[in-house]
Amino acid sequence: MNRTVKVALRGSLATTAVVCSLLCEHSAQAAEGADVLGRIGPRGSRRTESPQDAAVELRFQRYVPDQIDDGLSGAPYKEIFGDNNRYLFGLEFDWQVLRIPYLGTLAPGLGIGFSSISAKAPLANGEGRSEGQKTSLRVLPTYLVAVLRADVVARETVVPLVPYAKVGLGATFWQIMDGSKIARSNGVVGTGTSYGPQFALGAMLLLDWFSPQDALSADAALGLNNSYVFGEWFVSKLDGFGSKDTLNLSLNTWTFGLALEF
Amino acid sequence: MTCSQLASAQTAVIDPKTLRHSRSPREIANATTALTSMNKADCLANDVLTVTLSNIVLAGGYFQLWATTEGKDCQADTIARTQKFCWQISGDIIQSPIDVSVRKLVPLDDDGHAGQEPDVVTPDISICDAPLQAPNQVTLQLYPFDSNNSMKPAVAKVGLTVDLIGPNPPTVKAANAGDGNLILDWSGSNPTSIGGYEMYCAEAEASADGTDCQSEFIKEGGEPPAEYKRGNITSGTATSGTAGGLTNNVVFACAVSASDLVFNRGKLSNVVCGMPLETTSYLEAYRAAGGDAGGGYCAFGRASSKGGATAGVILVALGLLLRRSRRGVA
Repeated sequence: MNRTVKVALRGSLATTAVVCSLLCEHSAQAAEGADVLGRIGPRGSRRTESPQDAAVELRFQRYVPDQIDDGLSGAPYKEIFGDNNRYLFGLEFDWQVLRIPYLGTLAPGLGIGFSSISAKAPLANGEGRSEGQKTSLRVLPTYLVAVLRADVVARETVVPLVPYAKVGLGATFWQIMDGSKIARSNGVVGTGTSYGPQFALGAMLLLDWFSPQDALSADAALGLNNSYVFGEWFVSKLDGFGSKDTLNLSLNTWTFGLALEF
Repeated sequence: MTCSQLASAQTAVIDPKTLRHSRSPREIANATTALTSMNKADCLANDVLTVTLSNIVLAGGYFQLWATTEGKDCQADTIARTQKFCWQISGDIIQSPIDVSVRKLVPLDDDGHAGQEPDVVTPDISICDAPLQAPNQVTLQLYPFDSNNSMKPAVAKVGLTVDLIGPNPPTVKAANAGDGNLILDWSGSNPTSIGGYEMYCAEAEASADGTDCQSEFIKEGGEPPAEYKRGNITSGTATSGTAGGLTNNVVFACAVSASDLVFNRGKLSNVVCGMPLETTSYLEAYRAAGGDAGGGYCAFGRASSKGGATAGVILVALGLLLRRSRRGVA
């Protein structure tokens, strides 16, 4: 065995030992009901935690309304804006007023976001694009959802994951811009609202698990109970419940973000 | 100094906030320094600055208003009393307010005016074209004269900015076609001294050599022609702006003029040409493809009965959750 391989093996063993010791420490604490984290062990042992009433999510979402051309004679969205990924930033607030024993929290949630999709406007003569004129689709998605966060796993075991589900109604306000003005076509102004049901399934990774002491300090100083990073699969059917007069802004996409419970 | 001398000391106060201009409307009416700044348009229009004195004590004497540059003291015997450093603005003053032509506040340079005796005659309009470096900081100073016509140290001062020169023009790089407009891109100005930009366009004429990027109205280094102004942007850091109100499929010659923080327009930039072209917005493309959406945020389409039922179920569920939540809180 040459020297390089030996060094690599030694490094791997050392890393494994550190990870094992961390996991063993958590397991031991759980077994003893010891609650260094304030998160492990039976719920009654969380003596130092402040009351938890709400959650806020900062959301980053791939935003491609890939059903927008459905039912049309062509594919105007794809022809003008292409099929590149676009992104949306959003904010969600959940009011966690109901705790279901041995499961988690149930909350009504309100969300809002913004995205703008732009491209050089096609020339009317069909000879390419304008260098100076843009056309764009601006969207302001809003929604009202019921949110179930099953935090029993993170609270009662060493696995720092919180699966969750959301279901509700969304309404996206949109504007189509022609340069810097709202577009018009034969007297029809380019604004509207697309609405319909939406769903999401996701999981949150409890960041407190990585630095329990900082988590306790944040709770004591700021009332911040938990912080998470999360990922979710998001599905919306914003077609006006099948209306022909609605811009189909349905989505089937992923979302990442940061969540705080306080 | 005795008590009687103290009581009879000549004094007055000038509050910059009480300065008023006769010209209305002024481009700089809303700027924070509007009252104490004067631009070329003010000079051309012979704007009158009204200076109000308060807490006046004449004590048998009178005042004179002088203007200075570089912080000079007009009372000093050694001062050059010329309209570069220290010059008289008003005659003898025994009451407030005092009207001052803005043209009197223009400091002149050595070449044309050095050695002139101070006077109180209002200069003619040609002074507005004085080749000054801009901006000029001028201080109005109120000097008391006692009953023996002896000039005493200034008792009140107010700082003014006199700026008659517009900034250097930017370099226009392109005139990109829009629908009924051209988007001009430029570079080269100093953003800290720029208040904004104006775009000027006129229909281009065919030139002798066969190219058509010229106009008798839009010429590099020329004065901006107000009737061909096609847009403006009030940001000194802008590098792009839209010249609107143009006819599609017609070639236009365009240039840009920068304006400074007191709204002096600079000369026109280099001239570039472009042709506005009709474009298709996404809304037009969408509706041409058979889409019916649009018409306002409240223009809801008719939902299918199945969809309506779905919405109803979701709303009822959310309502129950909220009701339960309120009970939980109570």
